[in-house]
Amino acid sequence: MYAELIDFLSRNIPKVTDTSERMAASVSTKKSKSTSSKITDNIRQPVPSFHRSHLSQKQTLRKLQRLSAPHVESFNYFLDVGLARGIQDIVPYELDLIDTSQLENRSIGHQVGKASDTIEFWLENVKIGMPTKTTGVNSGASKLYPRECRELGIMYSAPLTAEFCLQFLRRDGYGSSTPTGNVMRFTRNFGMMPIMTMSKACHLYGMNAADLIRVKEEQTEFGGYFIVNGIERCVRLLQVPRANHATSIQRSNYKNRGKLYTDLGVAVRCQRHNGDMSTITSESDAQVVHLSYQLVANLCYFHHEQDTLHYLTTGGATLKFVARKQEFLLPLVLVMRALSGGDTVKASGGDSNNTTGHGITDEELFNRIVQGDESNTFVRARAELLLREAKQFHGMQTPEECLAFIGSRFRLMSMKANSTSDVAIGHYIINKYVLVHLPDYGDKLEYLLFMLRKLYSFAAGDCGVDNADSLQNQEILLPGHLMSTFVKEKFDETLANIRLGLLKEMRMDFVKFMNNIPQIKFWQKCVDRYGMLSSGGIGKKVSHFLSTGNIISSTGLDLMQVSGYTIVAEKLNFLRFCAHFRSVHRGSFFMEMKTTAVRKLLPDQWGFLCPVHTPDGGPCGLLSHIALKCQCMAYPAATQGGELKDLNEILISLGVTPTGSGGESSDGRTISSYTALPVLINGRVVGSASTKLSKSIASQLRALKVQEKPTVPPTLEVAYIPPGMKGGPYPGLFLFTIAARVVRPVLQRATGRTEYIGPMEQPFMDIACLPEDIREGITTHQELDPANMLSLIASLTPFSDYNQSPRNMYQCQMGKQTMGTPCHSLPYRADNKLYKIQTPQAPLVQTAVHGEYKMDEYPNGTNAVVAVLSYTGFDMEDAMILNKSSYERGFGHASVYKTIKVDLADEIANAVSRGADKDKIKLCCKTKRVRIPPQNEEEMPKFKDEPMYPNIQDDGLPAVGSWVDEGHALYCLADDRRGNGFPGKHKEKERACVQTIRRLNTSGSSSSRSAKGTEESLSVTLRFPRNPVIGDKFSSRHGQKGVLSILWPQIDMPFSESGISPDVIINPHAFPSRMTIGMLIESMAGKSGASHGMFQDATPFTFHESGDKIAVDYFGEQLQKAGYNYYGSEPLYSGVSGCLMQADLYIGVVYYQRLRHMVSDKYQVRATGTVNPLTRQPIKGRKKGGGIRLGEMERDSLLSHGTAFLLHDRLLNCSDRHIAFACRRCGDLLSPATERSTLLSAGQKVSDATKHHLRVYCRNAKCCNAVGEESNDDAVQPVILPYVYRYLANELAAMNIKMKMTMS
Amino acid sequence: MNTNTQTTGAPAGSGLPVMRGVEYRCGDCGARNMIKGGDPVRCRQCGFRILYKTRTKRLIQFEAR
Repeated sequence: MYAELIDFLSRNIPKVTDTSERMAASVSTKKSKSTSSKITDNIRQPVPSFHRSHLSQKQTLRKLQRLSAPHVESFNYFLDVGLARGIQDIVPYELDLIDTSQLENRSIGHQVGKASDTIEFWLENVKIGMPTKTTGVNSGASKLYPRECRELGIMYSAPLTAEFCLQFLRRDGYGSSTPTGNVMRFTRNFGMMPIMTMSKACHLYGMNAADLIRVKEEQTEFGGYFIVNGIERCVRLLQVPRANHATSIQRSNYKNRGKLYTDLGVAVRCQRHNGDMSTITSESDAQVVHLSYQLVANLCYFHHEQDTLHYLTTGGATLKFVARKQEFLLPLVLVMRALSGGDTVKASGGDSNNTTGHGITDEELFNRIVQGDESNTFVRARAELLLREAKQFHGMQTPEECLAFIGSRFRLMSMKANSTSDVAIGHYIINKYVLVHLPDYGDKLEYLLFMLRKLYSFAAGDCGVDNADSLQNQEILLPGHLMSTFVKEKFDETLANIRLGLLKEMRMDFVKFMNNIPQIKFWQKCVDRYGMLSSGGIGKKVSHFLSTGNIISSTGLDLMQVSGYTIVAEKLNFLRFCAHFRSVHRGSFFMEMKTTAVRKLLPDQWGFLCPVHTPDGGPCGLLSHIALKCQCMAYPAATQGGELKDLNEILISLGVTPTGSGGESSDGRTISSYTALPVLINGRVVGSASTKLSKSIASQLRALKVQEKPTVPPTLEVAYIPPGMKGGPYPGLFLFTIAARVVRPVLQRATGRTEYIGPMEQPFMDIACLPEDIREGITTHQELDPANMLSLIASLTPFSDYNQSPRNMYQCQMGKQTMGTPCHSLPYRADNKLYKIQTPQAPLVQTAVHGEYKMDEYPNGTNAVVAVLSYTGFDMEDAMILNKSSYERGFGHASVYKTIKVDLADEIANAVSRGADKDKIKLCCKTKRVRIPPQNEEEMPKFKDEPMYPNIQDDGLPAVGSWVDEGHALYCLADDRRGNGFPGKHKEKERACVQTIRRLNTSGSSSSRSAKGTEESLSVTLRFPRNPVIGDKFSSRHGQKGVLSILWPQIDMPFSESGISPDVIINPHAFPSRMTIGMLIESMAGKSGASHGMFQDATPFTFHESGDKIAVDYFGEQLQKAGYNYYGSEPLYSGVSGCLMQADLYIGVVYYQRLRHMVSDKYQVRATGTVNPLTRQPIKGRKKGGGIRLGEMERDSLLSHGTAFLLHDRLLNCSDRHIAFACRRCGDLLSPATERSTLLSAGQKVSDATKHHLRVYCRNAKCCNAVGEESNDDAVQPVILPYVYRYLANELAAMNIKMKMTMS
Repeated sequence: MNTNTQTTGAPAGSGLPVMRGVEYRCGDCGARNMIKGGDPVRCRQCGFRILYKTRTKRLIQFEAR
């Protein structure tokens, strides 16, 4: 094939120039003249594939690293901020130093005026180091690289340390406390924290291609995964409800909460936000502005709490929050009153009693709900009722009283000391669980009022239910953010456990405890013991989370699922590997859901999630992929620094009426009018503005976003939701700068600049897809490229705009199942299974994305000459015919690499348990003594030692490069005793070549094996040659898969006039129903590209169906210039007869992929074999040599055909046929016995059984012995039965049930 | 591959010849290491913990096809 292709090229290329000149002269029509000149330009500059992209190697590396950016950057966020912020956020634990055994009244509760000594303890200075190893030789620590972890099968991890701090306090019982003594502090190691590759804590961070190759990584390594026991695993991106945005929810199970509850609610998922600053700067990319890199980021710490307002049938409302997986419902008015006092006291201090004022009055509360909308009787009546119902809370009028009430109810849960007052606990609960995204109490109250207004509007039907499945109301949970919350919780739990441990110590011996507490040794011991640091600490918990994907959490972390968080980032091929980092899951909870509403493709996801790249079947619509140009914000957008101005001030200068000025209400906030729209930033009510003003503010903000030096964050989401849609979304101006959002670039028409937009604003914007979609005066934005909606994998399908859309979906799947080039660092990897194609090529027809991402570095297939004809009959039903000579030249040749890992400690323990000498067992060549027959009779026989396993060398391992068959040893352990040694054998039937043998020393790694004796293990990589055989699966890039049906000799293949014979023949029936026109065009494009010696551009949406750039004409002209038929069809001659076939046959060059599904892995055949010992029926399972079940449905269909003999053969003779003796008289199967052997084995012939003249008699005393022995012999007869029948008889007999047969 | 016991001097019939070193290459620096039974698996040059067995020089494929 190749020789032909080159020949083909060399013969055709010189022709090109003269034909093109000739053609150009002879072209008559005006249209084709213009195109032909373009084509000749193309032809004069044949472009090698590698130079098609204008990007340098460095830029490509950067581009590829953007693929895993959601993972890597969010993990950097975790390292930079998330971790420290989380630790800082843990409220110090406290403990009263009271001898609890001496206490008479052991009730818990705060006693005013009772002084006490208290200990507070917390953590500080949490640090994650870099992965290191102890080499032992120089006894120094050196860098641990990912490659070493992969091969050794260990975790890529770094030490996690934190400082434990301890303070003694004296509390006077009135809320004030004085520290006694200095803070005691010491550093502890909290275990080995798994490190994400390419993150800031990874040694690969910032390396260039040459460095990466030096440390045995891929040149294009982009990281984003963890290495857990040598396996690469990545954390799945999840779609979660948008943070800090109240959504209206209708859920029938809300009714179950109580008598008055309706199914309506407004929920908000809050994300704690701290305004600290950190600068992250980096050089900008030539092409794409990378947001999170370029900017000064505003950092936040993730702490999620979900709060819901419930609407009651009476019109009232309650606030629900979840703490430690328990739901708590609080009367809304109570919370509002508690909040109205302001947050002058912090929960931790406990110094209360100076709360300001009497809080909010009922009248004011009413006014702030109704907002002067006197005509709206619906809201008025309900607000009135809400306040009237609140009358029942006697003695809960002032904020302090309300806080004390809340505090008293949550004392036990808060784990606070008795010396802490109820009010302080009230504050603690409010701060920890109620609207955590707003630290200010006034803001919290304002937001509750906003939620209440939304709830009433929702109940009245003015605004509709928000679609939780729409991307508009969602954000992406990124790995680093998840890690931040998870690790914080684990630290919190560790401190809680230490507190419990201390309480126990105190209870056991108070005097000893009091003597111990000044000693730092005692505290170190307590932290180690109760924090369970010796058993791996927090690092162990994180590694468990990563290796299993199961989250073990006491609070639930506000997540919907407990498992399925991590997946193996399989390196099946490069596409598969990339796709893992781009996939977004909706949550495993939705997998079981019967309704399909979640899976629906909504227009809201346009440009953010790829509509094509989702699997069909089970996870369809739930597992989607991020579009190539879409970015996930790992860091929140900066709101300060650089030219940025305070967003609040900008809004006010633009005319927003702030709630924070005026002085009409008790806390100095104005009450905005009901006619104005609320203006919110990240779920904080800033103020209000009229509808007209809001609209203009939105457009002014957009102009500010795209300035050269923007004064507002360029990733600011400006969601202006206009009013006036009955049953539509709740109106307002919602601004977001927080992290975890998705953004994508579009062109702002007014300024001609690129603007980043989010999914919440997109539905309310006017974005034209193509220039012809622009409507002047309406369209404000335009797509940069219509192909931006596609994901990486979907963008690689050539001419995908010409295919029927499901075919593109299939290609996305099959592209990921192709045997291609998984990696170039093959010798340094120990993956369980890798597929590699031996003769890959760069596709002749490729998209722009293919070039940009230099996919040619990881080619996945071969350019094949494909003829579409029905030739031998072997191409029926999607089968394809392969040219035998092409196969022999290497078409589709591939290998599978499997690595077997052996832990020698386990193997030795196993051998010792089977009697080996523990001290002498080692890897070595086991020999056996062989007698050499003497030459003549007088001589004594000689002996020599021969290896017991011929392929094993002196080190107990086979030679590298040797072949192993089934049963050959892969390694051998032996001691000096007799016997066979303890070999590990090659169990597969397939022959394999020993590719690599690694001796591994796992000492000094995090997983210490010193307890097991040896620290050695080994891994053997085997190579299985897998060249195409009949039944292997192939596919083009258009969802056109087929199996190889025959290798057809080239002499019998059809050939064209120029002597080309195809590599592949497919059936014309593959096209009409599937409508993969893209494949037909690819064939033409490939053919013209091959003839002119250039790569063809197949980017979707570059060709049109009419106008000046029609794909068929474009390539048709090129073909014509090369001397071919305009439409790519040629007359072919039959290879068998040599006659011209009476049709023009379509023949061209198509890129073919070989899929990993191979018959060698799938064939299942059995004549006789293993049976189940209990039932004597054949076993199932391909691995064990079992059969395929002929089930009930198969039986029914055979029955319907009346094929009784066949059925009898299948179900009895080939299954558990058995000859049993049964007594004719008593009908019993179990009572007959022979004198010698009792049973005949299955399959034994009746004649054999009777031949020996064994006396078979019935032992049943009741029926047979009474009759007499002579006649008894006649009564017992052999019968053919299924063996299970006999088994059943036995089982029933054990239950005292007799099974009787009636025999004629 | 294995010589007889007379030359290697192992106890007769033990089934274990005295092991000679087998050549391995360091996974990091590429240095040659002769590893005998019981030797620690570690490069003598750089202390690296992964050693690759060198490819055999024996003829592997005997039958010509």
